[in-house]
Amino acid sequence: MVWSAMLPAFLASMVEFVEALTIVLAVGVTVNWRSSLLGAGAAMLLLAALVATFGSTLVLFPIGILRLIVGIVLIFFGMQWLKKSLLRYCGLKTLHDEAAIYEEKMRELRIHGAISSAEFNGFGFLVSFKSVLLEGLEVAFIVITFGATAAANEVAGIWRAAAGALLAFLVVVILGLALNSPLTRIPENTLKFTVGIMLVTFGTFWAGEGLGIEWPLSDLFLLVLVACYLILSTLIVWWLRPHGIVQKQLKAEGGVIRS
Amino acid sequence: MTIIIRALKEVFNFFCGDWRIFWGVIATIVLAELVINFATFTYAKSFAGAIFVIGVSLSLIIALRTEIG
Repeated sequence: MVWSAMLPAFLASMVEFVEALTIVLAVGVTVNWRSSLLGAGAAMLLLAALVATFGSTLVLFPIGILRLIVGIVLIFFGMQWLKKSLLRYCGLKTLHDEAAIYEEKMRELRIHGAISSAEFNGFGFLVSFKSVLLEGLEVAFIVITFGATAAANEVAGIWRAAAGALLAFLVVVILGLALNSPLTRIPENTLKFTVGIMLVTFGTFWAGEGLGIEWPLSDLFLLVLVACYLILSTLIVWWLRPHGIVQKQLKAEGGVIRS
Repeated sequence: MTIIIRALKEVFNFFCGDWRIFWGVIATIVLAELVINFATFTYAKSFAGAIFVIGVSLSLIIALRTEIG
């Protein structure tokens, strides 16, 4: 299943790269491009080293144990994404607004005072490095776990997942350069929800296999799991939406909404 | 000691971030494992998959329920 390693890595990477690009752009425009791109480049090198190190270590584990561990971690990971996106759909959590984050970051950087646009700036480097490293860590983790578990050959799987992440990186960078602004048109919450469903689905399937559960229909059962979690999400949105409306009314009256 | 606890907390937040989901999934795994290994009747083992999916789903529902307090 080539797609099972590439697609989740591609979609998850899109979300994280959009978030990272927002900060890199803000640092580039406000401080200077040299510091911003050096910070982003250094973080990416560190991430590549992490994927190479941990990816090769995972190959040593028997596939049954690997599937159980990776499956459990993917369920945890996916649940986080799914929970956040469902809360956002229901209005219980504010939607991720890249434009607002971009403006906020620009304001913060301007507060740091007059910065020479030609010289290397340590603060700009660190801000860019930190954002790419933190957002990239989730990508690295998904690349390693999906890659090592989705294919019979773990190394080949990691390469496929890494190719998916690289493709997402290229798409986001090209779009970012073309627009020279945060990618507000990418429906981040929908992407997050899709990735959440995929992570929980694969996590359930692999953890179940690791436990010794024999899924009916073999790999086709993944589609049944996707359907189950989509129905569950629809029911949750139907259940929570009234609470979201109440929260919005409270906010309008001066209360607080989670962000 | 505080640094270790903080580091562990950061690791937990990175991977899971919600204790209800964590314990819900762990309890589900233990239950599925018990059904697979100790079920007397063969047909009970075929329910292990359903138990697993329901357990994971319930963990999410419980986590969301506490969010709306």
